Amino acid sequence: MNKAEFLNELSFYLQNMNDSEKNKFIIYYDEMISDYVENGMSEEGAVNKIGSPKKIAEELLDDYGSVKLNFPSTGSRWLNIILTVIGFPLWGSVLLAFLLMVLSVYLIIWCVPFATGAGCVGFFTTSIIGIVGSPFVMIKNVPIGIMQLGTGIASIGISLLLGFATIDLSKKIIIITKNLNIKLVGLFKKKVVIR
Amino acid sequence: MDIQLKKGLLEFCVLAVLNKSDSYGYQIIKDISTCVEISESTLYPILKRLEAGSYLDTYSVEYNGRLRKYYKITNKGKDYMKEFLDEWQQVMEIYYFIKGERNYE
Repeated sequence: MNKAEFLNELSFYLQNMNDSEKNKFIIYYDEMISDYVENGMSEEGAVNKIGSPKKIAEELLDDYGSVKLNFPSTGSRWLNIILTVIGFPLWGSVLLAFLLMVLSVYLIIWCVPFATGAGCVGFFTTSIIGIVGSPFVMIKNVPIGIMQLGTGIASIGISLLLGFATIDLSKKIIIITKNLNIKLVGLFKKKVVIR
Repeated sequence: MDIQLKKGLLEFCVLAVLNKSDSYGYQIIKDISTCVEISESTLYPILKRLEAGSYLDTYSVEYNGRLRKYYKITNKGKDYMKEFLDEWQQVMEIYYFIKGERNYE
């Protein structure tokens, strides 16, 4: 590897560092290699002695402790704030659309257990009314009263089944929701990839 | 040697080199290497830290058609080094204590 290749590669691995820091670093190695060459080493030899660009970049980024994010900036804090405010109709509407989309996805997912839950409550009410009411019907008409009782008991069964389904589905969907949340938060938390 | 300790000591090695005369990256490494091993990638963060603490200043000199960055010790850097040397007596006390050659009863 010659000097130009070495510096190019180094610059590539440091692409997420802010430009002025990166340039200082590149200039440092540029000078160092030139000095080695002037003191009788070959360019390849000097590059070999210094080590792999990847390792050097990693060491440097480690030394930084935390990664500095390279936000687009105008250089002036107030100008940044003003531009952010002026740009609100643009990024605000995109953000709103995104949030509403996320909300609708959650609503659609939760519709399923909501439907089974509503069914559970409905059938349970039916069964209570059916069973409690059946003796009164039997007084007037025995066969219809018995049918009423049977429907009531069947409703209890359906209500129980729907109840279990609701609990099961909710558990699963809570897990899905959690995973989705983590992914969504991850979208914004994504930091600079070093390696 | 413990990496943190070495890093700390190397800071003073750099200041000691600059205390003799202004110098540049390659020469600093060469000078320090006569005493302790130091690599290019070790020196850089040290120089950066010393500069950030204004223990040293930098200036560029044209040499062979390119710029060479020179480092110069500041008064603050000199004081810092003196402080370190003055503290050395205490470090030696600790050394003997750890070694078990110091009586403390």
